[in-house]
Amino acid sequence: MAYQNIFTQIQLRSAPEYGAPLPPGEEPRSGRGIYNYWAGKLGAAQLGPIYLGKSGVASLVFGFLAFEIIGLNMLAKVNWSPTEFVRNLFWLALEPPGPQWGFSPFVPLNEGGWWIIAGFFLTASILLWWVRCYRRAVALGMGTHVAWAFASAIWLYLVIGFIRPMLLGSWAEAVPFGIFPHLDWTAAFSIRYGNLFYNPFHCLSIAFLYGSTLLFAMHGATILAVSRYGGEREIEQIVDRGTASERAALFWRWTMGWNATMESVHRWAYWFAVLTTLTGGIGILLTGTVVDNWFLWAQQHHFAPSYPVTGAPVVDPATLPGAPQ
Amino acid sequence: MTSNAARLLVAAAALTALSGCEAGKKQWAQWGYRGVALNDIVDPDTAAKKTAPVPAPPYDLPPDDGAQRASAAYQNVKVLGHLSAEQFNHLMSSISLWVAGDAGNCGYCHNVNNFAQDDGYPNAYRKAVARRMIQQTWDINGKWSSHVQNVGVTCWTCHRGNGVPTYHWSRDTAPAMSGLADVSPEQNTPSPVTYYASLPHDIFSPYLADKPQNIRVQSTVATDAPRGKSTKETEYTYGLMMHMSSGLGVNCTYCHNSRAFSSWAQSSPQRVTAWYGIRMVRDVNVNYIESLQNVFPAYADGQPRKGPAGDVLKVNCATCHQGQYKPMAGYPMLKDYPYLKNAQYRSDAATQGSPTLAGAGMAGPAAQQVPEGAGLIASERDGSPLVTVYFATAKSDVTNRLTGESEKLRAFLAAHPQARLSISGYVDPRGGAAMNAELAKKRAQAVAATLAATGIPRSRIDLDKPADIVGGGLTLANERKVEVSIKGAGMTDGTGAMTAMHSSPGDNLPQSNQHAAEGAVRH
Repeated sequence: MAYQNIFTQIQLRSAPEYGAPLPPGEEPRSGRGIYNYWAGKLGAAQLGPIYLGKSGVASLVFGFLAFEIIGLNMLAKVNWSPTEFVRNLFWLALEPPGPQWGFSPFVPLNEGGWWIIAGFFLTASILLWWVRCYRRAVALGMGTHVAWAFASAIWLYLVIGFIRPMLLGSWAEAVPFGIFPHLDWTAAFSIRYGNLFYNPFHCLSIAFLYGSTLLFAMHGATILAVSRYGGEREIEQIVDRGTASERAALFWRWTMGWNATMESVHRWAYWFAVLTTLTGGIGILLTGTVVDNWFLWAQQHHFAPSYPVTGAPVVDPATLPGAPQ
Repeated sequence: MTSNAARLLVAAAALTALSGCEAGKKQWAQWGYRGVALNDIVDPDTAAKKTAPVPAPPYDLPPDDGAQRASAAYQNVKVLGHLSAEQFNHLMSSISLWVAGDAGNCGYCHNVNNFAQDDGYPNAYRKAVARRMIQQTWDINGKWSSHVQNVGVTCWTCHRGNGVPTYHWSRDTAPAMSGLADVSPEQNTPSPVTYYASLPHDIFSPYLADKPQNIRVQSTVATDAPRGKSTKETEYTYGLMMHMSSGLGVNCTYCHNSRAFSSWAQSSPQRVTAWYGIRMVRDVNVNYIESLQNVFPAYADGQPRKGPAGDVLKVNCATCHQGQYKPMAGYPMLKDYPYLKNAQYRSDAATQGSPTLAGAGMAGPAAQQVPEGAGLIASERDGSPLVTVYFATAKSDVTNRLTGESEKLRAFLAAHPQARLSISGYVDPRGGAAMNAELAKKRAQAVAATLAATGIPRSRIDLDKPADIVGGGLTLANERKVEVSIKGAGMTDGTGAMTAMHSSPGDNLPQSNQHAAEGAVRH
C-alpha cells in the first residue's frame, strides 16, 4: 500500500469506544459516540461520548452568560443592527470602567458595570473548566500536567484583568473585551509604562513563546518524518524502540550533536509553553506596581544602550522660559 | 516549464499586489543614530500625488507706494483699513478664489448691492467670519512662527477652494441611546480620525480646545512614580498621535525615537515644531474659531456648519497639513501676499521672548547668545577675562576663535604674575557617565592645548575638574562648554582673591601647581 499520511489516514469504523467505567457517584457520560469523516481528517474520527459533570455544566452556563453580556453590549452599541454588528465586529468592545470609578465593584452598568459582571462570569467559567480539567485527569489516573499548564494561562489572564487593576486600585488599567480594542489596549499599555520591550519578563515570555514554536516545529517535523516507520505511535516506541525513534534521535545527534529523548522533548515543550504565560504574567504584574517606566529602568540597569545624539540637540520646549502652556 | 514560469509570475504579481508596495525609488534621510531605524522614507510619486496645485495670485501686486488706504477708499472697513486700496482689492479677489472657489464671487460674503453692509442679508455671517479669520491669519503668521516659520499660512492653506475646510472636527454627541447597555459612542467603531484603530474618536476635545489636558502620559521616573494617567486614558494620547501621523502622512519616527516616546533628547527637531503646532491649534480654536460660535448658522447651502453637538467646526492638524508633513509641500505661498504677514507681531515677538524660536526650534530665546555648535563667548568676571568655549554635541573640537582670544588672556597673565588660568570642562546631561567624564576632560585638555600652542606657558594653566561636570544651563548648547577663568589674580592687584576664587567652578578642589606643571589632569 502507498505511504499513508495525514490526508490518507485509514478511518476505522466499529462500535464507538465508550471509555473506562466511571467511578461510582460520578455523573454519566452524555451520548454514545458517533463517527465523523471530517473529524477523522483532523484527529480521531470518533466524537463523544462527552463527560460534562457539574463543573462542566456550570462552566458552560457562566461562559454563555459572559458571551451574551459582551455580545449584547456590542449589539447595543450599533443600535441592535445585525448588519452593523458584523461590519463593526472587529472594532466593537465592552470597556472596563473609567478611572473615576477606581476599583469599586459597584459601577453603573452602562459605564463599565457590565464589564465587571462579564469578567466575573468569564472568570468563573474558566476556573470551573480548570477544575474539570484537573478532576478528569485524576479520574483517568493521569498526571495533572494539563491542568497546571492551563493554570499558567489563567494566571496571565487574572493578572491582566483583575490582580493588577486591584493592586493599582483602578479598573481603567484592565483590558477591554474586543478584538481590535484589546490590541490597542496592549499598545497603549506599552506606551504608558515606557515601552514593554524593556521589561525583562516580557523578554523572557517572548523567548519562551518563540522557543515553543521552534520546539513544536522541530518535534512535529521529526515525528512526521519518521511516521513512515511508525514513529507517530509514540507509546509503543518508548516501550520498544524501533527504527523510527532511533532515526529521529540520530537525525538530531547528527545535525546538532545532541538529541532530546522521546520523553524529554515533551518536557522541553511543556515548560517552554508554561513559562510563556508564567513569565508574561510576572512582567505585567510588575508594570505600574513596581516599575513605572521600563525604558528608564533598563537604562538605570545598563540594559538599554544610550546612543550618541547625531543631529542638533532637542530640548523640551515646555521647559523654556516664556513657553506657551 | 513555460506554464510553471507563468504560474510563478502570476504568484509573484499577486504577492506584490497584496503587499501594498509603493513601486519606484524612494528618498530617505537618516536623522538619528545608525541602526536604530530613525529614518524618514518618502516615495516621491506618492508625495507628488498629495500635492495639489497652488493657485497663482489673481494679478501681480503693485508695490505699496503709500497711496490711498482701504479705510479711505471704502466704507466700513473694520479689519483691513490699514492696507492700501490695491492690497485690499488683491486680497478680496484672492479670498473669493480661495474660499468661494471663484475669483469673482463677491456675493459669497457681500451684499453686492451694498458691499459695506454688515447684516440683514443671508451671507452676512460669512463677512463676520472672514474678518475674524483674517485676524487669525495675522496671528498665526506672527505669534506662531514657531510652528509656521517663515512659510506662514494664507486662507488657502486650510480652505483650498472650499467654504468649509475639508478636514475639521467637532465634539462628540451625547450617547445616542441611554438605558442599561454600554453604548458610549466615543470609541470602538472604525474611524478615519484615528486611522481606523479602535481608539477614542473625540481625541481633539481634550487637547485642541479649552481646558486642555496633558498629552504626556509616560512616567518620567523608572520607579516610585506618582499615580499618573491610566492605560485607558493613554488611549486618548495614542489617538491624537495617530491623527497627527495620518494628518501629516508620517509615522511615529518622524518626531520620536519610538523606544522612548517621551524622551526629548532622543526626539527629532520636528517634535518641537509639532509641540508649538498643538498650542497654535488650541489658540486658534479657542480664540478664533469658537469665538464665532454664535455667528455661524447650523446649516448653510445645505451643508452643516456645526457638528452634531451644536458646536462650530474646528481645526486639527489635518486641516492645514492634509496628509503632508509640510502643507502644500512647503510652498511659501505667503510671499505673494505680504499683507497677510504681520510685521508688527514679529518684532514684538523677538523683543518679548515669546515662543518664537530660531530655525527648527532648537534654540530657546534664553539661549540665543549661545552658539549651537562650536563657538565662543568672551566676557569678564570680577574684572578678569572669562572665556567660555562651546562645543558641538559629543565633540571636543575647539573653535578657531579661541586663538584670537588667547592674546587677551596672555596679556592679562603677563600683567598679573600670580594669576593662573583655570580650565574646567562641562558636558550636557545626555550620554553615559563614563563617556561624559571622558568628554569633559578631553574638552578641557583640547582648550589647554590650544592656549599652550598660542604661547601661554603650560605651567600657568590648571585643569580644574568641576564638582559637577554637567554644566547648569538652560539649554543643552549652554552646557557643552569649557570655562577659561582667571584665579589668583587678586594676589597682586589686591581686589579680593577669594572672590575670584569663589567664582571658579573648581575652587573647592585642592590646587596643585606641580600637577599642572606636569600637565596632569584631575578630570
